[in-house]
Amino acid sequence: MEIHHNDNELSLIRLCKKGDAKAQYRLYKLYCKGMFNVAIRLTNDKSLAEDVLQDAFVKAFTEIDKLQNEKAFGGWLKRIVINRSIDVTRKEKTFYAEVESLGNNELEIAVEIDSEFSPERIHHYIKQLPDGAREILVLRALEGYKHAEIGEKLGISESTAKTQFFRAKQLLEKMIQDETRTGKIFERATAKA
Amino acid sequence: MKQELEKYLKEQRLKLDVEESEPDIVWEGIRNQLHQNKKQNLPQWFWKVAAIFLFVVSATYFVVNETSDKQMVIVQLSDISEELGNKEASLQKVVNAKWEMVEQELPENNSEIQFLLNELKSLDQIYATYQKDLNNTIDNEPVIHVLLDYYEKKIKVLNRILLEIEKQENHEKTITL
Repeated sequence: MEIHHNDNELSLIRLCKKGDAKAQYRLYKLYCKGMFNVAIRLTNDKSLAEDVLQDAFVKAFTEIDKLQNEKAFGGWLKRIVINRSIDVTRKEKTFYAEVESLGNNELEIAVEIDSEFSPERIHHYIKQLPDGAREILVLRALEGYKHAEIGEKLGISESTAKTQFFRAKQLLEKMIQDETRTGKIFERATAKA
Repeated sequence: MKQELEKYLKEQRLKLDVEESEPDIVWEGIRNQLHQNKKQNLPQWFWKVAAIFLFVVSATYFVVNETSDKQMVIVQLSDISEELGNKEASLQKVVNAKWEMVEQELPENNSEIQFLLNELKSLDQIYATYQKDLNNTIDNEPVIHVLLDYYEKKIKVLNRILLEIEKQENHEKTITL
């Protein structure tokens, strides 16, 4: 998610530091949709994602006076959302299979999709991915984390993170190709939301 | 047209945010939790003000306590009983009268008289010490006895000084004659 700043947002952040409830609500409205989508892609559960959203905003508003660089609010909030999402998925015991590592050559095979494909459908298919692969794809491709950071956050090796990421891309590509070929939208039986 | 998946995701990142939460329900939860936290966690400035207040109160108590020790009300024998008060007053009267006499005729450079004057000073110091004891113990018979004894001793010393003065005057008269 790109984060834009303007004077209005900065003044809202300053008011939030003083505990202004109206400013908190306006800042929440500004970020709730983006943060909810980050959370739901990681948890794949609407109810859990809403809990994450609530906890993250409470933490952010409680600790906002510690935030020195006000322009970094969006990134800071997103890190809180991501960390909280990982915590709740760990509680749900997401299993990260220590899959057989692929060689660098295999990992470099390009995974391509039709550029005209709807982002809404991509979002849908990301949620159909298995839990571990989905989290790694979201953290790497959408949130810009490095494989080493992902490994550290999820408690897996860097090479597992790389391999799982490659497989997630392949699965995503396959689901998109299947829909293109058959016209049917793939729904994973275990998908929660 | 085909596009590399990662590049596509990067370019379409914002358009992927398609889902909506129940924003007002979530906000209600946030608001309630913040309100609870506010009740539980008083702001940092409150603790700073409380700490300063405590410090000021403790410091004031310490200073007042120290000062009040120094300005402690001295217990007089009259505070213990009227009889003791009267006795002390009459002795004090004698001491004052004799001291006035001494002051009027006090000669200079008389080593014997100087010695007796120093005796008086020592008696005063002893009196001050016993006065403190009286403050701490109030109705303490030995202390009361020593305090009354002080006056009697002081009268004796003053009598000796007067005697010495008289002796010196007589001696001077003899020399003059």
